[in-house]
Formats: sequence, structure tokens, C-alpha cells
Amino acid sequence: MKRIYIIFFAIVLTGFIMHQLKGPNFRISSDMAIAQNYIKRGNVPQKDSDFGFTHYTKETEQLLGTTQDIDLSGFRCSDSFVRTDQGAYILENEKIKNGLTRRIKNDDFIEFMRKKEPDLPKGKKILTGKICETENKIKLIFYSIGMYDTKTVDNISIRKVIAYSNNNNAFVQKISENPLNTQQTFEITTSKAHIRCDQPFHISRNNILFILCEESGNWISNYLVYSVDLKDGSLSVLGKCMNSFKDKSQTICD
Amino acid sequence: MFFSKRNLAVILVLISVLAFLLVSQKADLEIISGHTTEAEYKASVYNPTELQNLVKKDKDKYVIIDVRSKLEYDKGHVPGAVHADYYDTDALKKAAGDKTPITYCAFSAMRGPYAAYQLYQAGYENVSLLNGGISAWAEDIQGLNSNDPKVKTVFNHPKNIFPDREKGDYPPNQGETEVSITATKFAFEPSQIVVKHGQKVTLHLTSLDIVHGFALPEFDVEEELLPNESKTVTFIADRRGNFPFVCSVICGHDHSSMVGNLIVK
Repeated sequence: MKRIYIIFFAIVLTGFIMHQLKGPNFRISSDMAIAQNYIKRGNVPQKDSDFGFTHYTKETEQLLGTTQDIDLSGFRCSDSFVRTDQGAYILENEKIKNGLTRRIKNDDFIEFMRKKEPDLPKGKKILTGKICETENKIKLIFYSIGMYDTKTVDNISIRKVIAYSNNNNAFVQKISENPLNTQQTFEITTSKAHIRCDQPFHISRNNILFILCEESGNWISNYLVYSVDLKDGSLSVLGKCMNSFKDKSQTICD
Repeated sequence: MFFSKRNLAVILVLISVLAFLLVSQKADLEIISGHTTEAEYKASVYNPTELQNLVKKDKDKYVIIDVRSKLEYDKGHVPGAVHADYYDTDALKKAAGDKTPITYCAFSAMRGPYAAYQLYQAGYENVSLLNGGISAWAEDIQGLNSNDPKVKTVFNHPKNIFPDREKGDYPPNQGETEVSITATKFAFEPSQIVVKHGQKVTLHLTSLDIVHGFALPEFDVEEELLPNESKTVTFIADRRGNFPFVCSVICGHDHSSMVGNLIVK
């Protein structure tokens, strides 16, 4: 009889501790416009289709190609989204009939993002994001935070306001699919202007992420290719292309 | 003996279960405690499909009120919705009539909740909102009525649309008052503020948890409240009356119930 009580007590205590330690989580849902199929390599064009800005050089492309497909983990991603000044999350590209915006309706996800707000640096708020999921169900949330004056949204679209925001940080948060939903968040880069890192090239099976970051501001559009070790957050820059277009268009790539 | 090994084990188990239950209920307790007199106000919220079914089932009981500007309403609105500006209590009451009102705006962030609260204070006990506003309806249901056949977007408006009020006459030398208001999920503290007619009012606004908003449209006040960052607004209470304020940033499931009143005597 004594043993039964001890076992029962141990089970309840274990459940209590796990409940306390369990991180918040959410399910990927269709309103995020998540791709149906997993892919090994992201479709990240070398040049911007609208303005012709260079994203990365052929040398960087060759470097990225040195990882074989067999060593890559499949992944799929949602559409990128922005957080509006009213606190809604809207998709950037996917539209409905008549060109109207689509919202993320997943309350668990929105609450997940809201939970970050108390810990953000003073004056900063969530700006943009994208959710990706690997074949082994690890979720990666790419998001940027920064500052903008809410009053400017009165007459300018939120997307433009965010593109001209300042003091940005770009992060990747990894959520593992285990009973405790263990999570790690790594800062990829910062900028005095707007920056976002949400175009993954690929993710290797040993958890090295290769990603394109975009920095935009007054008359500049810079692109950096990072490798991020998702085990410990260590980073390196593989390539950088700086596009400026104030007086004349100029591109300088490292 | 009471404290036998067996009884101690039973007590330990019961304490563990109780602790587990208390932790699970912690979130609810945080919401319930610390509320002021507005705690009883709770607007119901319907998603577009729920609203469509509700109105289809009992259309004589409900009225949907579009509380955006007339310009926005004409460009496209929920089929069957009537229009009343969110700040116009008389127009809202006239639109509601003897039916149960359901309000909405673009996202149901500020104007929709404000109008719903106005109607509640005017005596409509069961007010509701369309969750996500017309943007949600346009996405989920898609059919919109429009008075403008060339409508391209239903969102073509300047964001801050405040009532156009003339400055009132107010007695001079009424001094100043300062009030600190905190915002947490889902309440302002204090939620009832009484000031004198003609007083210079300074509000120090702080969110203690997540991003909230503070909107007091009758005095042209709308501020985003980032966590632990105080904002200060100042105005003259140049009109007597009861002026609602609401949270203007969608902050969670009870966002539309986060309300208060500035009373100018």
C-alpha cells in the first residue's frame, strides 16, 4: 500500500514539474499559408525581381552548393507576415479576392508571439516574421523586432513604416517537438535600420542553417548570407552585397 | 496515530494534486483579481461564421452595426449591416433600436469595442463584436455589400478618426490633476477617473505586461503602450460628461472588455 502511494505521488510530482517547465507552443495552421511540400533548398533568387538588387554573388552560390542534398533536411515555410500597429498579424504576400489582406487567425500562435512582448528591449516591438518547419517537425520562427512611431501609420501603410523602422534585431527561435517543447532563441544580426532574416537557403542535417538577411533603409538595400548553428547559435557571414541607389545605383559585394 | 506513515503519504498526495490544480488555475486567477467596477462588462465576440449563422437563425433579434466612417461603410460592409459612427451614441442607439447590437470596425481593435461599450453604457446589456472586424469577414465569408461599384479596398481611410468636437467653454483656474493608469490583461487600473470641468488633466499611462493601447477619442488621445514604458498625455477637460476609454491594440481574448471611463464633473 505504501508503495502505491509513493508511486502515485511520484507520478503527480513529475507531471507537475513537466507542466511548469513546458514551454508555450502552437500548431502550424493553414491560415499561415504554409507550403504543402518539404523542400531541400529554398527558392532564394540571386537578384531582386523588382529593383534588380543583388542578393548574393555566384561565389556565395557555389559555396552554398557544396552541401549535398543528402545532407540536407527538408523544410517548408509559411508566408512572411507583419504585425500591424493594432496588434493583428497579416500575411505579406498571400491575398484573398479583391487583393484584401489575409490574417493569421491561429490564437495560440498570436498568444505565443505576445508572450515575447514583456521581455523585448525598451521601445521595441515585433515587426515581421516567418514560420518554417523541418521534416522532423522542428519549428523555426524567424522574426525581427524594432522601433517605429505608431503615429506615422496614420497615413502610410504598415509595410512601408516597418521597412523604414530603426534599431532592428533579427532572431531565429527553434522549438523542438518533445514533451517539454524545448526552445532556443538566437539573435542573428542587428541594424540601426530595418533588418529581417527570413529567407532560408537550406538546413543541414547537423542543424546548420543558411539564411539570407535583408537590411533596408534610406537609399540602401543590403543583403547578408549567414550560417547559423542551431545547436548553439554560433554565426558566420558567408557573403554580403550592399546596394545603394541615392544618386546612382551601385552594388558592392564581398 | 494520525501521523502514521500511511496518513502522511495520503496528505502528501493530496497536497501535490492541490498544488497542480492551483498552478493550472493561476492564469484565470490573474485575470479575475485586480478588476475594478468595470469587471462586470464583458462583450461577447463572434467569428464571421458564427455571426453569419447567428443572424441567419434569428435575424429579427440582432443588428450588425458598422461603426467605421461612412466612406468606409459605402466602400464595402457586411451584408445587412447598418452604419453609425463609433463615437456617436445617439446614432448608435438609433441603429440598435430594440435589437441586440453587434459592432465591428476594420479589425475590431478600437472603434468596434468603443462603440460596443457605448451601447452597453446606454443600456444594452448584451453587446457583441465581430472578431477581427470586416477584415475577418472579407476573408472568411467574402461577400460584401457596397454602395460603390468601383470599390478597390475597404481600408482606404486615415487611421485616427476622432469625433469633430468644438472646444467647450470651461471655467478657468480649475487647477491640474495627474493620474497614473496601468494596463494589464485585461483591465485598466483605475478604470474610473473623476476630474473637474476645466481641469488640466495629465495621464501617465503604463503597460505592466504586453503591448496595449489607450484610446480616449473624445479628447483626441490614442497611445500605444509598450511594456514598462510610460507615456504621458495632457488635455483640458473642457466638457462635462462620461467619456469612455478603451484598449486600442488587440491584446488577447478579452481585449474588447478592457474599458474605463473619464468622468468630468
